[in-house]
Amino acid sequence: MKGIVTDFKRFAIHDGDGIRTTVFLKGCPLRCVWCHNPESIAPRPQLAFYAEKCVGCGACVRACPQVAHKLENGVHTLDRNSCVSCGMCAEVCYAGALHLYGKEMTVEEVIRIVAEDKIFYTNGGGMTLSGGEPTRQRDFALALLLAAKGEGINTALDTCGMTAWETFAAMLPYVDTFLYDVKHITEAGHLRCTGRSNWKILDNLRRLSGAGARVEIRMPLFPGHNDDTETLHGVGALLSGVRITKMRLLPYNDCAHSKYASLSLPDTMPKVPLPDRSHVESCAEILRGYGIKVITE
Amino acid sequence: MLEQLLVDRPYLENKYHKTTEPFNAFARMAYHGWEGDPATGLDDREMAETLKAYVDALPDTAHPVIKAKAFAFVLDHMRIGVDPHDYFVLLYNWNRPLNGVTVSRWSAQVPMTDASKEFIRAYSASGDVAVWMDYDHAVPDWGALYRLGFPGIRDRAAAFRAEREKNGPLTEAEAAYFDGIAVTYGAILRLLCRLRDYAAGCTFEKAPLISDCLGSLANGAPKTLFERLMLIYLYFMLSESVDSYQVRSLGSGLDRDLERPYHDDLAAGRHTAEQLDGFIGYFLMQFSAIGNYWGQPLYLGGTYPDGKTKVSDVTMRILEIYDALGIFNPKIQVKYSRRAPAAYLAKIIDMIRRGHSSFVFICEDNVRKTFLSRGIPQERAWDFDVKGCYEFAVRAGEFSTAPFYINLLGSLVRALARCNDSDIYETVEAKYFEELTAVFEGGIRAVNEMEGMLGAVNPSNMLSATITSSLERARDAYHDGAEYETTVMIAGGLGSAVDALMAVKQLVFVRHAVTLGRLKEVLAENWSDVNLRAQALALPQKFGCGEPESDACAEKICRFAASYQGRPNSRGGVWKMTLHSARQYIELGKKTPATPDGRLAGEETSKNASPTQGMDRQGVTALIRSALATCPAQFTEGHGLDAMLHETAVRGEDGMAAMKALLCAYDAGGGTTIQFNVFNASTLHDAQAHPGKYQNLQIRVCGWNVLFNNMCKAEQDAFIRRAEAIV
Repeated sequence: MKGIVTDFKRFAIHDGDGIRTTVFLKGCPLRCVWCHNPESIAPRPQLAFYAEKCVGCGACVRACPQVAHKLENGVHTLDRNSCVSCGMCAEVCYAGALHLYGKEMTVEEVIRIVAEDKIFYTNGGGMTLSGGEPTRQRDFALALLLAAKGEGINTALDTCGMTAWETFAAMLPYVDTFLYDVKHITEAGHLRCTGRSNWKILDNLRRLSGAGARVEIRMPLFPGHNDDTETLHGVGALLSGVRITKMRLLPYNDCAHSKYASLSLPDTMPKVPLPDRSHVESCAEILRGYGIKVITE
Repeated sequence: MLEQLLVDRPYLENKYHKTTEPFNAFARMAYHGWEGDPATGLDDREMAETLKAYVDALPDTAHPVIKAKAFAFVLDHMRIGVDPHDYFVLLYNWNRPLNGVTVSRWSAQVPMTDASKEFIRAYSASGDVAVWMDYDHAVPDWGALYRLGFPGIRDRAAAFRAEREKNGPLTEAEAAYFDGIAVTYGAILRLLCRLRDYAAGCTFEKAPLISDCLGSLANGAPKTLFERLMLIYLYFMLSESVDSYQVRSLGSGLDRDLERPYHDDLAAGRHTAEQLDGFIGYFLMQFSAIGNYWGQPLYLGGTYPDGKTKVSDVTMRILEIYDALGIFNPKIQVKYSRRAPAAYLAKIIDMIRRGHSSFVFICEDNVRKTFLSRGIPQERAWDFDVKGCYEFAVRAGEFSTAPFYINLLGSLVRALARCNDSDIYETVEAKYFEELTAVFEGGIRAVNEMEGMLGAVNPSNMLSATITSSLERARDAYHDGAEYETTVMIAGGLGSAVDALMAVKQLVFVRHAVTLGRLKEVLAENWSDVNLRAQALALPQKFGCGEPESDACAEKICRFAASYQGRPNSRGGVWKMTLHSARQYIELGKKTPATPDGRLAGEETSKNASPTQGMDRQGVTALIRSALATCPAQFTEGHGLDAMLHETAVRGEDGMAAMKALLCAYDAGGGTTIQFNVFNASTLHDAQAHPGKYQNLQIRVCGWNVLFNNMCKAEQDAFIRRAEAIV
């Protein structure tokens, strides 16, 4: 079985317990305005071009069978209509200006890479599936989880929760920890932030909790969108009613602008002041008031 | 008393050199801070002049005796001092005054063949090797010193002499050996009495305690914690600064060495815990103030053969005091195993992530295997000394020299010069190993000739007297008087050599981006083809990335190099090896032309067992996997791995757990020594641009720590390149 893998991250220490290897799968149903991983939204491979790294060597022009690259007067241009994201140009771009996000890989290939770091998976470490939204590639993700378990590797699923309950139900026996996003408490707020309603997300969270899943909540803290007192109290009230291990607040940062540009995507990341440390801690205190273990590191 | 230390600290920092004046840490002994009492002895110029006249007038007798008499002359005329701000004495003439009249003269008399002289000349000029006589890697038998004290050490030597004389008259060499010790320790005892009397004449608050301590040491073994610390300090100063033998560990596990007197003092009501902490603090501050560029090592922790830990409340006190002082010299090696107490480990990791990078973890179970592989008995292997930067030795039984530095990259330059366009990659590689063979064989031959007279060039009178086997044999401990006399080859540039070989293979033979002949032309023009260089730098086949092909290449080079271990040296022992480059990754790199890995002419090579700076692009787990592929425990002297972590990766509970897991995995995989630097490259850039803002920013450059501001720009740049590659 094959799937589309955006990237791997080794020594991932904030994606579940211990040292982990995070496998990013392509495709996401949400359109979060603050999205840091725009390269993982579309389900198919995408070519990124980082203009500031281009040295004008012309290797891509020679390598591209679609004639999508041009170099005129030392200036590189990419015709995205011609590009089929085959990645042949990226392979010869030694300056690192071209990068193909998304590679078709088999389950065995992915697990081989994950298993390379097996000696580090002590203290609960292992593999984390992330995205995008990993359940978008349901069968591939399920096969990866099964294979990891077969290798004795701990598993975590980093999910936005927007998937059919049946998908979670199928994965439940093979997921040691769900890293579950709560982005907003109200439907309107969630729609505004992500373009989708949150009813299914919250419903799935309650079902996972009821099914005895080990759940860690992750909440991106986005100034002006979900960091107000009312929202935080709402989230606290919700989480006090479900069984979770802890909650991690992820303060917004705006360091992904170059990714949007490299993919020729409209940059949706708002330019707002970044939350300072004291504000993050005050948000955490509200949530701790509901008996929740909140981590802000 | 730590509060008092904080008051005294500004004075202590100026004890060995004035902090307001420029300071070259390489030449630390050329400086003075406190002047001592001029009425008590000579200044350096007077000492040099009168010592030379004294030695020149001595009869031409055996070297140990001449050196001992010169040593005694220096101590008898040493300017001394005690100070209201310190518990430890001042020995003013600490610039190795004997060297000019002993070692320098006698080393010129060492016979060497023309072939060896030519090897050293040619291969040093090309940056392949660095060779010199070495006396700087010794640790005395601290146990004997604690048990016997200075008088007991002298008396024990006399007893061994008397016992030997029962079997007939001593040979001239044997008599000189014992005479040298007797004269040396006699001088030490006279100096102790002089210091005692001088302190007794002082009226400040600390003086009576200092005088009593010195008096006690003049008469016997140290009985209190303060006396033991003073003994370590005095032995260190006299050996390093007068007898010309560096002391590469303060104690044999300082925590264990201090544990009993610490508790005895408390039980007897001699001192409070606070006072004892103070003594330790003043002791540690001496070495911070001395400012040895290489760092002054001590080690902590470890495990007894029954599985009990050596970590104690005294271990934790030392760490707390060190932390409170915020110093990075002494540097501290910590023995680690799965059995290490959690609080000990947590304390050290927390200090490291707060910037205390002067710690090295020594994975004791794997290091023990290196001793067992040499046929060292189990009980000795359990109790090894950690010394120097990443090295280890049989406690009180092994003395190693480190006279031979090898640049593993250099042989590829020589190999390429012999290759042409008709060669296949396997030929290039074979020629590389042929050249490497010439380096190892030539170097071992030359050093064996050079070390044939090691004991005669610099007799180790102070050290030998502490070593039982030396006394039994009446032979110098640094020549053939110890149980294990080892000579160490120190290999650096592994990462660069692997990357360069892989670059030749990929660019010429796999990707056909260039011919071998053209590559040689480009290299001769110091990488005149910038696009080709970009390709070389961008190749994924780099050591430190967990990439199978380059890891296999590294393993092959390491296996080849390690095979030279066990060769006989000329001191009755064998050769050992360590992957540790000291500063030679810069010095030899300066002489090495451009190489296929993308390195420009004169740039540094990779250091220690670490990747080329900036090339470990796959993160710390890949780095550790690559390092483990080289089988660290096959290197019987050491294997220094530097791991760099971004500060955001080690924050909070997750960061603590991650660092523990890294260490645990490295140990479980067979690693021996690892040290961590926790940094953010932007901090280093800012420090380079605004040094005034970062006067206390310390980093571990190789086997030691330095202030970032004290590094030359090239070293700073290399370090920043590495930090920028952290993923």
